[in-house]
Amino acid sequence: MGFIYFLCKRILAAIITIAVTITVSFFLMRLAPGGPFDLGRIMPPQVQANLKRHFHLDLPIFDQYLIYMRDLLHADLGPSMVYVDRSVSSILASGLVATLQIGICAILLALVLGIAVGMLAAVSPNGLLSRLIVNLSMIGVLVPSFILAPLLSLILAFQLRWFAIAGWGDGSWYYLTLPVIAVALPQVGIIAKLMRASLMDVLGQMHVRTAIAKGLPPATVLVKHALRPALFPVISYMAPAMANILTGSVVVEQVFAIDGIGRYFVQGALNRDYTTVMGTVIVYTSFIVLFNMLTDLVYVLADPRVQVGVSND
Amino acid sequence: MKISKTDRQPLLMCSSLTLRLPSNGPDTAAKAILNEVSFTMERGETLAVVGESGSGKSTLGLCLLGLLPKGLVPFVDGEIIFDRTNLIGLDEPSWRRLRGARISIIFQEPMTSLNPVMPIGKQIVEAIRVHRLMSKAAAWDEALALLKRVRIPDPEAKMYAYPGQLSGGQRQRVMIAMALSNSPDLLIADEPTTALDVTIQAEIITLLKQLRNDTGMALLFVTHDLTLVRSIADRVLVMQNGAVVEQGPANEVMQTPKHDYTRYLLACRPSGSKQPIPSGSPELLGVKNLTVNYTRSSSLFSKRSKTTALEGVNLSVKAGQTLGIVGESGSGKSTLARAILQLVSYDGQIRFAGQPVCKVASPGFIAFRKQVQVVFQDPYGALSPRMTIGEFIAEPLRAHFPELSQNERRHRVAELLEEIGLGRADMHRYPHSFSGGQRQRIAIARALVMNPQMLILDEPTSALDVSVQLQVLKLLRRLQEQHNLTYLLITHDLAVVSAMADEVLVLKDGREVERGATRQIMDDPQQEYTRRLVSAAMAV
Repeated sequence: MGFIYFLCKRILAAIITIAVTITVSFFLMRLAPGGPFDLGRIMPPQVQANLKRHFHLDLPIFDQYLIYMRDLLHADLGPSMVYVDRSVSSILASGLVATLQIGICAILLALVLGIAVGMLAAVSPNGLLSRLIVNLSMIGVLVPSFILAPLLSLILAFQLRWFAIAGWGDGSWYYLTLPVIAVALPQVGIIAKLMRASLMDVLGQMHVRTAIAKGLPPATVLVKHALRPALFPVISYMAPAMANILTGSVVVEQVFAIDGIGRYFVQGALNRDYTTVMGTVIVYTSFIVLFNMLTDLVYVLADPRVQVGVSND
Repeated sequence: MKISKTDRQPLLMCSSLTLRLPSNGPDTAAKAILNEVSFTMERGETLAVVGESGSGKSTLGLCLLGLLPKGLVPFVDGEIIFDRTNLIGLDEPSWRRLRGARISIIFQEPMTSLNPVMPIGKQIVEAIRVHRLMSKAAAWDEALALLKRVRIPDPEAKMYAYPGQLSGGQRQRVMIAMALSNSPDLLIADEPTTALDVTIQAEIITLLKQLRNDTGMALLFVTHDLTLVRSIADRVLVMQNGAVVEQGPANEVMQTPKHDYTRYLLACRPSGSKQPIPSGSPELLGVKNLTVNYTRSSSLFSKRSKTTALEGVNLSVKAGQTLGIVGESGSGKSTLARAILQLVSYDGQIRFAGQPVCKVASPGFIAFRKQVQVVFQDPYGALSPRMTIGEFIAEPLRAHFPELSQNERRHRVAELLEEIGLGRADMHRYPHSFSGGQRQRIAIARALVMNPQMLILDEPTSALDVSVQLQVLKLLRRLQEQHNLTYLLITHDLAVVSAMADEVLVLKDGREVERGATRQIMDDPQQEYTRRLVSAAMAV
């Protein structure tokens, strides 16, 4: 009962969040100077007027908003204003393939590597590895992906020829690896650092001392008593991590010339392709909101102290 | 038990156990946390290790289980012979065979000592199976039997419960069950009852005594509380600054202490009673039908839920009087203080000096704030760490008397510091350079700076060592006589109330249980709950 109530509540909140984001970006986008037909070749005024009428751009902005929302409720994202004869839905569908693959691989890589490295570092807090991680993760956080991505490309693809320099090709690991590393690396650093600090904290807690006093071997103490509570901060970070990976992929898709959502987003914004930008915004927002919900859900399942819908005071 | 007649070897023999940290610089001397500690324990014997904070008594317990922080281990010297094995320098695998099997421990903090994300049953089963080859099902049955043995209500359901769903006393019972799971020869109990309410405390002590008698295990009982010693220990070891100052049979040490420090500790229990106030003193504080509800709010979508912390409480304090508010955790005693201080919203009437207390932020309210001040329990958390104590004490003056010059403020602070037994020069120091007792005095000085008529003392001595506790109580008594102060003394400690208060109000679950003159409540309690409280306080 409490759980279903919690779930409904979260879904409703998610819908409101998405609606607010759509509204704000709709007006921001249209209020930016220029329009989809101001660029490129010069058109006769009559043609331009026809185009504007076709896309309802001649109407007051609020009416445009109402029309857009009405179409959206019918699951119609509209036609692209720049890519002739392509609907936004088909653009998004083609872009999602690459973006999702990069994103999912990157978050898995970041989690597995980050947690493993963080654990190793926490077990010997003054060891070489531990200090290395603190410093390397600083670099991972400080170096932006638009520097990291070309560097990786230069060394691993151009010099060593292990991977593709750019493009998506058939989407195999030959094309996938570098973009995934470029997106995941900063998150590996952050997660490792988070995991290290959290596990060190838990290892110093009283209940771990109790576990040692029971005569349990160190590996059991670590895995059965320290690991689970230590993972809670990492779980909380999942949602911001996904957001960071998505924003990171915007840059990385540009650098590696991959036609993903991020690239359409940037191109769309530059060309004032209103409908395409709105479509990508909806996709991004939905993903981030969805991941926030998943994070909360995992947290509730992982920690018995979080009791949903029950007062605890 | 496996005691043969010829086995003359004591169970545990500590000789010259020393833990000395090297000096880190020419200015600091080497610090001895344990200094030449020697004692023996026979099988089945109960030894109480008594001392104040910093005496090394808990460190001693950790040494016996090899639980010292790794960095300290190289500095341990001496011998711990447990059943013919020297524990000093023992390797980890050998330690693991001892821990939880032959030597077990119960810690002070029942709230944090159990794994919060593992069900109780699993934690006990794990303790059994790490030392004995046994199927999960058999271990489960044994864990259940252990829970029954420590008399946890509804043990079958508790096996599946998480620690967060148990009370403090129940968690301590789980710790005991876990510690007993492999029938150890030696159980170390490190302040097992300090964090518990008095009635629970008495129950746990009774349980420990009974289990000790049933199993024949030896019990090393670490405590700061000499009153507990009489009821549980065969022998006593008194420690001060890492060294043993006196040891001997419990009765002997308690009745004819040889060392000054032991005598001092024994004399530290609050004694005497409060001088009665002249009859006809006016009522200073009157509370009628006070009810406080905490509501859990309330995001956009969830309903508010209500918890009643106080219900229909009445009280009346005359000028110069001390009213003791007694209750266990959850009784609403701190909520009462907060309501009187107008820190929470409430229903009911509060009158101060004949006037209803004004609304927050009205001019009359500021006058009320000047008259009623508070001292909190935790002297470590209550002082702002980035302010010198001079600034800290003078802060209310700045707020309420902005016309005072800096010199006048300084003068007032110096006056107060001298009154509480510190020096004028101390006003430039920061809180971290003061001890717990000194900090509590500073908090009292801060409360007095406005010349209030009334102090609300919320567990003012609970976080302090026994000897320091007495000094603070003496100070409070002296200040009351000098300034004709009125105290509202909130405490769980009946000994403190008995020595300090004219009248007592006993609270339980937010309601009044009993109210009356201190002597009458202590000598002839009318209500069952009060009787239990008083007898628990006397028994331990």
